[in-house]
Amino acid sequence: MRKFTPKLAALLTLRISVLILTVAATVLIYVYLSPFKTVMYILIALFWAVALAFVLILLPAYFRRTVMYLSPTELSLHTGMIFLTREHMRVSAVQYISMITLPFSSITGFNFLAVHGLGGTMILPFLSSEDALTLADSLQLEIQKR
Amino acid sequence: MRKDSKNSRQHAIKLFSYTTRYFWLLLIPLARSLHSILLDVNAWATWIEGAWLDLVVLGAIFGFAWLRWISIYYSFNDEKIIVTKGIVAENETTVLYSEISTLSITQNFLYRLFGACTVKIGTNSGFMDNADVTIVMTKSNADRLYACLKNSKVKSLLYSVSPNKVRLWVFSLLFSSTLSGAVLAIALLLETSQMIDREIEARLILDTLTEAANRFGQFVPPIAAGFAIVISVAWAISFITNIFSFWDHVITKSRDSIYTRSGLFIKNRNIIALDKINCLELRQNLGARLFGVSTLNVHACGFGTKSRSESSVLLPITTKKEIRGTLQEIFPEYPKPKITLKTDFKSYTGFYFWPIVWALIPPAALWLMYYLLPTWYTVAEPAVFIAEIPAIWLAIVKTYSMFATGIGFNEGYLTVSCSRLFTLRTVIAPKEKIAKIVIRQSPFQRLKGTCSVRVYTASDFKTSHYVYGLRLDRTLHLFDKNGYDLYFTENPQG
Repeated sequence: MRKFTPKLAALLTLRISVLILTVAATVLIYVYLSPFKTVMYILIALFWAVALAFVLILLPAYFRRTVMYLSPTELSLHTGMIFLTREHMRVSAVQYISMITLPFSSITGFNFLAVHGLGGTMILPFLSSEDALTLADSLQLEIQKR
Repeated sequence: MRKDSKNSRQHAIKLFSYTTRYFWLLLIPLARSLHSILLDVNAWATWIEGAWLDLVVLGAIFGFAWLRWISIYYSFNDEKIIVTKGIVAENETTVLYSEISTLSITQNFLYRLFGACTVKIGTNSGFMDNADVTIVMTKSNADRLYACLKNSKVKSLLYSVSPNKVRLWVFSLLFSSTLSGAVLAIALLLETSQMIDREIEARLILDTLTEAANRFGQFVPPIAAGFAIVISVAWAISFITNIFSFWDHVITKSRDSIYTRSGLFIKNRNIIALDKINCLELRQNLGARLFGVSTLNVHACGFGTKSRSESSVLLPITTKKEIRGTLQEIFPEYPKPKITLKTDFKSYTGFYFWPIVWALIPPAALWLMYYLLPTWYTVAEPAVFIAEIPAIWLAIVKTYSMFATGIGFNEGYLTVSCSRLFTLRTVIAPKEKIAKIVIRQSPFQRLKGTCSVRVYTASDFKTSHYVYGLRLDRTLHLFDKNGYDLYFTENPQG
C-alpha cells in the first residue's frame, strides 16, 4: 500500500492567497464603508478573524489530516476541515480518471486527480506533480489489466 | 453474415417535437397577418410584403426540424443496433445487444394515434443521466427490435408475475404519496408553462384555488380549505398516476433478463439485463411500512433515471408476501435483507435536526411578516399552524426511522435501511456494485464517537444511500470484516 500526502507548498499558497484576499477586502471596506465606522470595524474584524482561523487552524488541520492510500485493490482518502471524512473506492470500480492541473501547479501543488467510478467520484486534492502522475499511472495500469 | 434491417428514419411525428419548441414564433406572423388583413384592402399583398421575414423564420423552423429528422437514421439486426446522427459530421453509434442493460419502449397517447414509440437504450457506459440511444420509431420497428433483443436473450421463460389489480387499487388509494403527487404536479406545471404564459397559468391556478377555497370556506377557514385542496389534488395525482402507470403490469423473467410491460394510456415495455442490475430498493411511506406493503424498485443503468422522470418500479405497491415471492423467483441469489449494525442511541437527537429546522421556518416567516407586512399578519397566522403539519409528520417518520435505520452485509450483499424525507428505503446491493463508501463525522459526532455512512452504488447518475448515527468503531469493524479497510491514523507521519 502506498501513502500520499498533499504537497505542503499548496498550504503556503493558500495561506498567502487568503491573506491577500483579506487585505483586499479590508481596503475595500475601508474605502466604501468609512462613513459607517462601527459597521466598518466589525466587518474588518470579522474578515480577519475568519482569515486567521483558516490560516492558523483550519487549513493546517486539513493538510495534516489529508492522506491518500493506494493499493492494487483499494483507494482511500482521509480528509476534512471541520467534518472528517474517510472515502474508500475499490480499484475495480474505477471507470476512468481525469487530472486537473492549475497554472504553476508543479510549484504550488494545485494538482487534483478525479477518480470516476460508476456512480461516484473521488477527488484527490493538492498532489505534487510526481504523485499525481504516479497515482494516475498506477490506476491506469489497473484499469488496463481488466 | 447477419441480415441488417434497411436503414430507417425516425417516425415522422418526431418532426412535430422538433418544431413544437419554437411554435410560439408562429404567433409573430399570425399577429402581423391579422393586423394587415384588418387594416388594408389589398390584404394579401400587404401581408406578403410585411411578413416575408416571418415566413423565412417559419421556413427555417420547419427546415431545421426536417434537417434534424433526415440526419438521424437507424438499422438493426439480431445482434446489434446502429444509429447514425449528424447534419454536418456523421456520428455512428453501434450498440451490441449483449452490452445493453435496459431497453425501454414507451408509447404515450399521441404516439399511439400515430403508431409511434419512443425507444431508449441504456448501457453501463451511459454518460451521466442520458440514455445512450433515444429514437422515435414506428411501432412495427419497435416491436421487431424488441423481438430481436428478446430472441438474443431468451433461452426459456422461467417466471411470470402480474400484480393483483384489486390490491393495486386499494394500496394506491391508501398509500399514494402526496409528496410525489405534488412533485408530479409541479413537473406538469413546468411543462405547461413552456406552452402558455406564466402569468395566465398562475392566475388560472390561483383563481381555481380561490374559488374552491371560498366554496369550502363556508364550513372551514379559507386557508385550511386551500391547504386541504392542495393536499387532495396532490394525492389524487399520485393515485391516478399509480393506477395508470401500473395497470396490466406484467413481469417476466428469462435466464438472463427481466421483461416488464405496463400502462393504461402510456404503454411501457422494458428489457433489463439481470447481470446489469446494480441494486434493488424497497420503498415505503410510514403508513405502508406499518401495513407491510411496499414497492420494489430496480436500479440499472438507463432504467428509471431521474432526469427522464421515469419510474424505476419493478413491482408496484403490493404486500410483503408477494414481494418476497417475486424476489425469490426473480432474484434467488439475493439474500434476505439483514441489518447487523443499527443507529446508536447517542445519535437519536440528530434525527430531529431537519424536522426542527422545518418547524422553525414558518414562525420565523411569520415574525418577519409582523415587521414587514403587518396587514397580512392575521391572515398568515393560521397558515403557520398548517405549515407545521409536514414538520410534525417528518418528526414522526424520523422517530420511526431511528429504530429502523442500519446497515449490514449478508452473503456478499450489502443491505442499507434508511429514510429520505418521508420515505423509508431498504436497499440491497451486491458488494461488487458498491462504487464508493464515505464515512463522515461532524464535530458533535466526534464527541459521541458516532458517524454517518454514505454508500454510492453503481449507476449512470450519482446514487447514494445515507445512514445516520452509527457507532464509528463498529462501522469501521463491519466494513473491515467485509473487505473495506477504512481504518487510518490521522497523522500521516504516524
